Amino acid sequence: MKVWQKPGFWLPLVIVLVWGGAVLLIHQDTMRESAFVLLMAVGLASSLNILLGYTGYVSFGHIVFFGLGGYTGFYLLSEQGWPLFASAIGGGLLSAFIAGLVGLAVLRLRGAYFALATIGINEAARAFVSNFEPYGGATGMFVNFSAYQKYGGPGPALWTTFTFLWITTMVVLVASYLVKHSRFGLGLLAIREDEDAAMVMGVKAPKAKTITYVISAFFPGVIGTLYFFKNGNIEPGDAFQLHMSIEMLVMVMLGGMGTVMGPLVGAVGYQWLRGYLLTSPIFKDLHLAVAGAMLLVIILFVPAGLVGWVRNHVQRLQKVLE
Amino acid sequence: MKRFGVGFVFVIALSFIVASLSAPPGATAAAKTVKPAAAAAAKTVTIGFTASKTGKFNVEATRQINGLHLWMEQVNGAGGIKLADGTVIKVADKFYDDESKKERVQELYTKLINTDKADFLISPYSSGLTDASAVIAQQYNRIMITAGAASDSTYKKGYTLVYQSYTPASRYLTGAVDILLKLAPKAKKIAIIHENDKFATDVVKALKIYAEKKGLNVALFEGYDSGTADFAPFINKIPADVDAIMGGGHFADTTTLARQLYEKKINTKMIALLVAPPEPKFAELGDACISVVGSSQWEPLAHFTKESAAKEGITWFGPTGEEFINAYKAKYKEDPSYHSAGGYVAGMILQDAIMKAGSTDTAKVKAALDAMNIMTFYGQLKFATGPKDHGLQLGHDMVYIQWQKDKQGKAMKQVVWPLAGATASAFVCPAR
Amino acid sequence: MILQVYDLTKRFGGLQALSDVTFDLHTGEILGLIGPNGAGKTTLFNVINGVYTPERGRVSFRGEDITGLPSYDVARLGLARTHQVVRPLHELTVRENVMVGACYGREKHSLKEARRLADGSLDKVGLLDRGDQPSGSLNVSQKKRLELARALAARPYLLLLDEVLAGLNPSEIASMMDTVRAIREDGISILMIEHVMQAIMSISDRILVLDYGTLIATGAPEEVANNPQVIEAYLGDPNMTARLLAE
Ligand SMILES: Nc1ncnc2c1ncn2[C@@H]1O[C@H](COP(=O)(O)OP(=O)(O)OP(=O)(O)O)[C@@H](O)[C@H]1O
Ligand SMILES: [Mg+2]
Repeated sequence: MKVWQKPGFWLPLVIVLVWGGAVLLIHQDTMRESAFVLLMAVGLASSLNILLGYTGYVSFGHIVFFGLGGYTGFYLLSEQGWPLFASAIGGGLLSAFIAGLVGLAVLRLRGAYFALATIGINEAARAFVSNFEPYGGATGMFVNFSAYQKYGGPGPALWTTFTFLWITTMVVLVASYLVKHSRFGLGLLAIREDEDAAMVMGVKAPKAKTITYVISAFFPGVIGTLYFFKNGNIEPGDAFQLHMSIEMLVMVMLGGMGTVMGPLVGAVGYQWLRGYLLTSPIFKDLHLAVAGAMLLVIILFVPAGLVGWVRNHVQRLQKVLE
Repeated sequence: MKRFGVGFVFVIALSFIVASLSAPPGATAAAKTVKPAAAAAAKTVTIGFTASKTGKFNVEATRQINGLHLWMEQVNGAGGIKLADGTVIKVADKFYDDESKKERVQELYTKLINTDKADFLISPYSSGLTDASAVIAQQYNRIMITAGAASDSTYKKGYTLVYQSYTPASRYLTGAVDILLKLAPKAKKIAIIHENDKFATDVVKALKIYAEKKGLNVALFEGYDSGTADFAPFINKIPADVDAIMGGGHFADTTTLARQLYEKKINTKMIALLVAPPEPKFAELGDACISVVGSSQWEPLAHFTKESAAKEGITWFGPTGEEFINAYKAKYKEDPSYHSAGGYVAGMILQDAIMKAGSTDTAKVKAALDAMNIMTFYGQLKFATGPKDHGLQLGHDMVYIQWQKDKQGKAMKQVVWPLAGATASAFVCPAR
Repeated sequence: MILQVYDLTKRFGGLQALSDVTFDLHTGEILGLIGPNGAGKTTLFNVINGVYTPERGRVSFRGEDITGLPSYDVARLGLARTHQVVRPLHELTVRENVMVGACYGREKHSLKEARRLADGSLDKVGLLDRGDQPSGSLNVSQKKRLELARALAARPYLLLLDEVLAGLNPSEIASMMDTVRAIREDGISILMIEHVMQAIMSISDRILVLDYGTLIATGAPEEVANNPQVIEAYLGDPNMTARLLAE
């Protein structure tokens, strides 16, 4: 069976394809903005899941790759005049490169120690960028409003950014599936279950973990560039926010870590709920409490995440929800 | 490892709930939408914005919104804005919580414009959030009055519809140089110690340029990380003969800096710091606060009157300072801060522009804003109109206060600059 | 000579877990490793396959010095092992567990071939019908056989078996013994740790006895069983002495 014949592969992809396609067709700005927030969450959560879900390493400070990549992409775009697409790729590559550099060292640590080290990396990156003059130091950088003119004005520029994000999200999902269902991915799952036993069976854990770290760092860099271009400016305070890191983890766990569909479901569910509560006339003063309570319920009663729960309880859906 | 994760999300969930329960009750109480009284011939314009009802900007943003709501209530209570052609304009508002975070600001402003049909926009609190919202305002051809967005860069991006009500960061502390040169005309050397964040860095970069232009030598220019609590390494670097120490950042760090300067018996002619000095809580420093100079967007003590406006040949608009303070106190049972005044003034700017334009049409109101030059209880308001810095506030100036001792020896704030609004004259920092 | 161990020494803090252990393992041989609890048998496995680095000594495998190589490199050279305390990859299915062995073992198979090979290994240990079950749901004896299947799927030259018979009932022991013999028939050399004396005595070509980290006897099963030093070493363990003498 070819890969595209497997529902576990195409189902998440078709969902995002149809969803983004519909937004582009209907061409309504409010819809685009909501979809942007959701797709960005899906992309970030899925990237994190490639590391968290497949190797079991809890990267607490994963947002550092969003921030560093975003900064680099933004720099290439605003200071060097690169086109958006190339800048985003540049941002992604920088993130991947940094992950490769620090990966070998921090991935020696396990459990909470690794999580703490990743927070340290995030804070170090923030401190570095705050003092790095080419990136604007503490005041950051901004693009002139006229930069959007290149893309036909601000409206079309936002649509272009959305389209790039949409494509990126689909690429993340494809990467997530391919990693999981490859020989390489099997080694990762073995590491997740028992790293020492995996090594005894021949899995080169240090190398495999570093490669995974690199992959899961690349996409946040791309997404960061798109996000900050859309916002028009970037500063250290926005680029390295730990709470976004935490939300990425929450979304992965809500949906079900280690599945391709999980981060999609978790991210859309979580962000949609937050957005709904934020603007709902009934809940808008209580949105944090309601979101927190729902999270608690799910963690207490569905620890495998929504997709994990369905997979465990409905045999027939196991092949559909990878 | 999985168990570690689950336990962790559990903690996050709990902290959400705790965070929301511990949000100040005022935040929600004051957030009720103000509805205009129904009037037959009235046209209603909707003012849209996001408010940081939760998160780190909660306090400042709440005051800003309180100010704006007071303005709305007064406008609608007076029967609305009456235009030359007889139309009466009532104002309504629509707002969402942005959680003090940038992520959803663009989404929410897009919704405000497209779904809620907002005619005019007010910015969120803080430059960071305002930057994100300004892209949207400009894209949909909506006028946005900013409050609490001091950063100059926002107005240098080529926007044509974004107007600043605050004095920009680049002029936040420059008056301190003028005060110094007045107090000690022979002053030569200053030291600048500042928080290494966007706001403080913006301020001190401009301060340095201004000080050097005035012939001062900036002998020390050092940034400290946000959250620093021990300033000894920085204080030790201050040359013995500096004439002034300037800088700071936000409330907590600046207060600590002031205290440690006092404890280390640093002698200098003047200490001028950001943000903290205007706050009443600064008095808790005791003797350490005496003689410290600070700048504020507005002070209840400041005296901008119809008479002073007339003297300068500028039209007066809106209530007097006293009227504003009394109305605010009556409605919210607390003293207004400059954030409150900022919110109120953002509304007044719109009101004046709509009246002068005689219309709510964006192009016409924009023309009125470009031409605006008025005096209010908050100070003068006038915007840059050139292509490089359109919308930047030109008229308004910071008010400088200095902590002095009253007759009983109690610390109290006095306005010392600009001289027109001064309630006392500045004095040189006594030997410590 | 498939494995040569020379002067191997391993310390854990103050504890001398292995001192100057030296022995050879001939190609095609089944070499038994016995000794009282805590003698250092498992530690010897761990040092041979690279889980621990020895303080001193040398291990050479098929003529190549593998001392201090990480365990995954040792595995790829064709040395597989099972664990005394089973370590299944819980959330993976039984088949996937075995596929890891096949993918990352000596022959580095692709997923597709690995699946085929895994089924072969599972068949050998009698777990084929459980292939799709999560490995965490197996019972102890099945988990032991899974350990073995995983190691076999790696197509090793040498297999280290750490107490694969422990906790099995007599009929399970008999079938496991047949499996081990069949493995040897396939040309795989075996080094096995065992406490079940009858079994190890009957299956091994030669036996090593380890006591307090020191090799105290080497030789054919009967020789070792009658060695007074060995009997004494086991005196601390009355059960073991009884079993040795019952031989
Ligand atoms: N990682 C370790 N750290 C410290 N001490 C250890 C470690 N591993 C084993 N030991 C100690 O080394 C000694 C030998 O242990 P080992 O597990 O090799 O014994 P064994 O011969 O396999 O015993 P058993 O028959 O009970 O399995 C024991 O005293 C044990 O406590
Ligand atoms: Mg053992």
